[in-house]
Amino acid sequence: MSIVQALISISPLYLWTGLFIVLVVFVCISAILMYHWKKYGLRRQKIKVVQRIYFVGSIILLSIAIIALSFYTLW
Amino acid sequence: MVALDIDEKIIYEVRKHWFGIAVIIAGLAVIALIPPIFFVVIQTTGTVMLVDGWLLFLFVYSLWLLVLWVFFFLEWTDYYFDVWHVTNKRLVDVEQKGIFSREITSFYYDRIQDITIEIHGIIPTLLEFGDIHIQTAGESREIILKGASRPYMAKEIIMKEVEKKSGTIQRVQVVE
Repeated sequence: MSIVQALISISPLYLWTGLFIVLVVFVCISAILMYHWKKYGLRRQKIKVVQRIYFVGSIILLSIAIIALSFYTLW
Repeated sequence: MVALDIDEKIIYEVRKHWFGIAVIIAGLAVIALIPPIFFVVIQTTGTVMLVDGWLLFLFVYSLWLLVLWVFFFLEWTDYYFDVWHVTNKRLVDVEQKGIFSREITSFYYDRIQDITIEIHGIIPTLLEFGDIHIQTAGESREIILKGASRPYMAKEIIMKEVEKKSGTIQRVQVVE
């Protein structure tokens, strides 16, 4: 079995577990970033714009991951 | 947060030049391209991929991009929060060291002994960025902002404030 074929045959359960771990790490890092931006950012308006960009981009990427994994699980 | 006095105003902020963050963006863009290239190479070399292999790739790749996305904002935080606040009373040096460590030093203008600007290389000269060194009196410590944007303008503004407070600056050296 090649590496790629081995990857394809990974159980969805492992992938959902991996996604969960990534989500936990993401929430922790995001909380740290929010704390820094709110506590040390002098220009509130700019920080708000950066926060929006950060979360919109993150939500889009997480949504793609969840949708792709859902279809992969159902296939 | 930097605590300012009631009558204290920020006149100017000396920040790192955007070139530093642009280099990081370019590096991350290259890293972001690795998985699709790997995927295409595998397909073109004849390795059998199932239809749901695309879904698996999409899943892994979106998480890969998320990691790079978060890493960029960590780097941006390091870049953006490394700043000198030039106020009408003092100079506040905020040095961000990673995400968990920061150092805030402030000193009044009459303690500034000399300002040195170092600009090395073609790109820093063309884009006008370099290192600013400020030596303060009373302690051997020197504060440095590496890759500062518009160092000459920053120097002029700081010098004006120094001159307002103490008359003249003792020594200004420009190294190119």
